[in-house]
Amino acid sequence: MKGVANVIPFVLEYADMTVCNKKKRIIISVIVAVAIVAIAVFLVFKLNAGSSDLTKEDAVSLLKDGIDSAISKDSEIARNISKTTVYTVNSVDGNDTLCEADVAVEYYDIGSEIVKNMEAIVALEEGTADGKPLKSDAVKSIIREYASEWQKNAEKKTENIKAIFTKTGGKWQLYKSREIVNLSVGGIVDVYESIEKSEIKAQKRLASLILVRYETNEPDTRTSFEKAWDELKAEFKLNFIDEARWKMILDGFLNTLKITFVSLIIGILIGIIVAAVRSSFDKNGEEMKKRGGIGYYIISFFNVICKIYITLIRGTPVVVQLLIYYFIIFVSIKDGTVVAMLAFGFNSGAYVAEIFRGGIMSIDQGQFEAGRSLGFNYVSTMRYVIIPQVFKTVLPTLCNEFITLLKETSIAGYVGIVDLTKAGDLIRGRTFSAFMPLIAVALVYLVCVVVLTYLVGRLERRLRRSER
Amino acid sequence: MKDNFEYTGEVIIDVKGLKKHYLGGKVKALNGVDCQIKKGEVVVVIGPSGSGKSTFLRSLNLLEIPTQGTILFEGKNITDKKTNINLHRRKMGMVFQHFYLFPHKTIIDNMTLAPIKVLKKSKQEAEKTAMELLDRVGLADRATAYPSQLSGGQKQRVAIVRSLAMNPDVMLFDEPTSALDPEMVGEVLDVMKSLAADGMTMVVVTHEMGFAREVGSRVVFMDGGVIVEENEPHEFFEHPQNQRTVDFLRKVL
Repeated sequence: MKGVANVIPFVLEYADMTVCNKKKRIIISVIVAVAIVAIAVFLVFKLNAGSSDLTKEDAVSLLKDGIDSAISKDSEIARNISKTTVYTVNSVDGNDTLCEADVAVEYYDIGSEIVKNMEAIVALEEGTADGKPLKSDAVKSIIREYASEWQKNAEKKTENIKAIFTKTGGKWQLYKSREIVNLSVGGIVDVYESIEKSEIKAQKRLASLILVRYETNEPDTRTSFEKAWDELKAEFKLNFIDEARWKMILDGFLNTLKITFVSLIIGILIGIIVAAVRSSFDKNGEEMKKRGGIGYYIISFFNVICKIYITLIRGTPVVVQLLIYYFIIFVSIKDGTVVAMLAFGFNSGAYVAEIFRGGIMSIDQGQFEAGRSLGFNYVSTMRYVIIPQVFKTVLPTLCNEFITLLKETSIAGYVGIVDLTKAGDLIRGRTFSAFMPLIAVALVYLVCVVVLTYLVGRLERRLRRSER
Repeated sequence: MKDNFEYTGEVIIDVKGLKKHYLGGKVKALNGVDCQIKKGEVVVVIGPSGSGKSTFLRSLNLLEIPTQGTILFEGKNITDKKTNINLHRRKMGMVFQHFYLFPHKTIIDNMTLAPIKVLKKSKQEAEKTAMELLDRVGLADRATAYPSQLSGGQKQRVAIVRSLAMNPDVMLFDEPTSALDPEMVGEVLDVMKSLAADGMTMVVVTHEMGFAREVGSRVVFMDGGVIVEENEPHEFFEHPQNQRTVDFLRKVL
């Protein structure tokens, strides 16, 4: 109890990153990591070696039903003899999809009896006393009579055998191996196999009365975990390895990065220009107006242009903008990637402009006045005093804009570009399996964003530190 | 110096009919101010809040653009549209209530930025001057510190020497001690006193009556956007003429 109490402040400190020191963080991180791994291993183990829910009673009835279904509809003899077989299940052992049972099978060895009397069967072929061949129905009824005789004479035997049960579709089933089927019907599988290709008609009649089927395929011994894993591997192979489809993802990802980087640069350039115009008008417009001259009118004009630009960009969905650029404005540009770069660049420019403007406006007006009072003109004040401070405050926001942009480019597929998202979708269309490609695409984005977010976080902390 | 009210020196700032209106005339911060500041004078501007004393001071280097009136600085009309105010501002040092040191630069960089970029001084020269000035205010050992690592009083001393590094002809102080903890007021006033003793022309907006009495060569009392009364400090405090001055002094002393 005391140990638990000691952990609580530890955890609280971990949650509050500013308080916790590095050593403690590492210790807690290791503990948490170990715990997660332990839970994962436990779960995997549990899935892998899930215990069997098959009882001995279930096994017996499954044996009866299983053997019954193995016997052909017409093979009366086999059915009759199988009803006299008694199963005793000694133990059941296995996992959630496969069980082995130790079974003592008590059966009447009718097979040996049939073999002993095979001559009598063959004799039926010769015909009756009047020399005519017997009709097939007559042969059958004679064989039936023989059969009851064999059954009476058959020796009672007991044999220990392993019965295998498999779970398919949530139900346990007997694996009808040759061995267990043969025992359960008193060894007549052996007989059947010795006469099934016979040319003698009487033997054929007999065969039809003792026909029993058993399974020849090996039972699926994989656990459900292994089955799922194998399926996953197959899916993976189909979606990424076959026809080198991973290359599509890689190429798409490179396209996404290319578009993101170029449009970010375009966005920052536009953003700086627009922010410069807008904030100059806000900060210096009044002074320019009072001083007179044409400067004020020029800046007012550009300010209005910038305002319209920002309103248009922020007021319409980026998909619509992209389609307009592709199908209306830049029809002459054949390369969709270039159009996408311009579209996302123009779009991002509006947001970056507002980020910069917000940054400039967030700097204390006194900083500006201090610069001016030292004799700096407007531009120099901006350059030496304001902008360096603005960069510090907007850098994290700018990085977040980059992250947003990275995700936003996922709509590039609209204009025929195979970016990361489109690549995933193309694979989905070809393999008809959605899970792997889409999850893979999502993971790539997620990893990128998580890594970038982490870096932004570090950057932010470092910037904050230099301020203290 | 202060004994001699009638300065014979040349007029360095000549303010005539200065008006500053906001919101299209609804708010009248300055309502016709006439004032002459002569070389070597220490003019202390006092008055209740909202009296326009800060607006007056900020108008002197055009941080507030006057609505009406003229300001002659060293004989040049700086309110004229054609005048390049940047050339004149470098000769007018300004110290703010909230210091406004550049947080992204070290103390020495704060002080050398304008001399290097505006006056085109060499880095060595600018740093030499800066170190001398820092030494004078006892902060030479903090040269490479950042503003955030300094106390309020230290920041304000740096702000003063940052302005001095431009070698100005006049220093404007906008309530330089109002944002300081009481125990730090003294160190800043000491610097200002030594500056006055060196003959610097100073215009000081302040609530420090002791400073006005001790250092000022003239006290200007403003109220309602006009100069109500001005006089040599001793006379001003001992024998105020105007009733508004009397009321104000009764409240603050």
